[in-house]
Amino acid sequence: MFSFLLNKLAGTTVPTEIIEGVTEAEKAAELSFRTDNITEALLWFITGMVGIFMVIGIIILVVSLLNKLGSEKKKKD
Amino acid sequence: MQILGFLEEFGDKILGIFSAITEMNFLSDTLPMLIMWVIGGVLIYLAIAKDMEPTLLLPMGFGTILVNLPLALTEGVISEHGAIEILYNAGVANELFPLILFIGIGAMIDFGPVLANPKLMIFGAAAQFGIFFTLFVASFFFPLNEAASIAIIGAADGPTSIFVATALDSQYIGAIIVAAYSYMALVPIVQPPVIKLLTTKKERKIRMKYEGKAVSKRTRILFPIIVTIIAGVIAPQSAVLIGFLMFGNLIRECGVLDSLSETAQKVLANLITILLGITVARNMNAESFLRKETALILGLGLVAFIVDTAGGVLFAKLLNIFLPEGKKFNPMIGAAGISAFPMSSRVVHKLGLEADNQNFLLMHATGVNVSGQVASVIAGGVLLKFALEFLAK
Repeated sequence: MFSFLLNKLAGTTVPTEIIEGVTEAEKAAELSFRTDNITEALLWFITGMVGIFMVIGIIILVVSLLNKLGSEKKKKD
Repeated sequence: MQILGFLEEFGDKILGIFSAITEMNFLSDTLPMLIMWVIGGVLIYLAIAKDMEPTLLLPMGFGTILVNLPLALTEGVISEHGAIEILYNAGVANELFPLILFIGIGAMIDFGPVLANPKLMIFGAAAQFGIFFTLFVASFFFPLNEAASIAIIGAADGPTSIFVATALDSQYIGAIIVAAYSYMALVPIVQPPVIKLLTTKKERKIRMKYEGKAVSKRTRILFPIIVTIIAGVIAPQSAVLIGFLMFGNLIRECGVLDSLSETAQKVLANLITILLGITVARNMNAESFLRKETALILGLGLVAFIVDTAGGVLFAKLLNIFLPEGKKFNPMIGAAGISAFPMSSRVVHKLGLEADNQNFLLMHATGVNVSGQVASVIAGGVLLKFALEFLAK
């Protein structure tokens, strides 16, 4: 779309590759709809969220324990 | 004769530069350059006139103009021995600058509100939902390592975004950093409509009692050490990120390194921010930034922030189902779980006052907000772990 508009403005037919400076590597990695990674991405999604909750859950338990030990020591004193 | 020789040399140089510029193709060279100058100008304008994350957007904006000058590649700016390239290799390509910045950030954070009520940390975890949701959506358009680099915009944390995107060798670092910092500055605009859409006025009026329990110095000192050990053992790739953050916090909390704490919070953080801002602009050249992927990345970044907010709020509402009246959470505090500190907590507090002018949510929201910092760094480490393992296959 961008290259079409530029061509219209410039009144020329400059090739798309020159306008957009597309290299061979970029052509190979061009934006397109892909479904080859859905399963892996979904697995990362679920495992990632579970992992974060697990780590945070352990931190909560440890901090709660620290707070409890601190308050018990205070009571003894 | 020497003067003549010098004048001749100087004249040749000027002619050389002039012919190089006039040989530039307007459509493929000049127009993209001009567009990037405008983008750099917009970033500078947003930083100065709108006070949007000026610490990074201003150096980035200026750097964008610098690296898009006509002979930037050949005349020492981003050439192999150019200053920006040297700085980039010294501190960004090896992820060093974001880590050092984390020492300063850790020294600035007071974890007191969350240590007084540690169960609030769970909302920090819930608000990272947007990162993984965006990863899933981005995987429909990008390879997984790029999808992970884009998804980390949802961490709402600049150094984490830079660290992960650089470690995964993303080719979209410029767009990712612009998105991350811009949306962090736009939190007061992005979050309120999402929060209001997902909550009723009755829910926004829920008052939460703040008990203000004192936190012992021992707990404050042990917290950064324990968090580093736990996160490092379970998610090793997050160890360096969490470690540097918690090191900064330990300097702050130990009580015997006040001068180092002050240096970390002010001098160190400011110095690294200056270098980081202008150095990451190395990726803001026209060829890397002016692509259709940039627009998609900006869109996905917005999705990440919105879903982060929604994730935190909805999780709070889910917990409220099981809690008795009088013990319920105000669901808005879930939105403060994103790492945009302190803006997000202020947004929640303001919305609380709008619903009920005696409803003071700031301390609860602050507790959730700082826990979001920890959770976002862990999320970054988890994503790195998955992506690096995937790339190694």
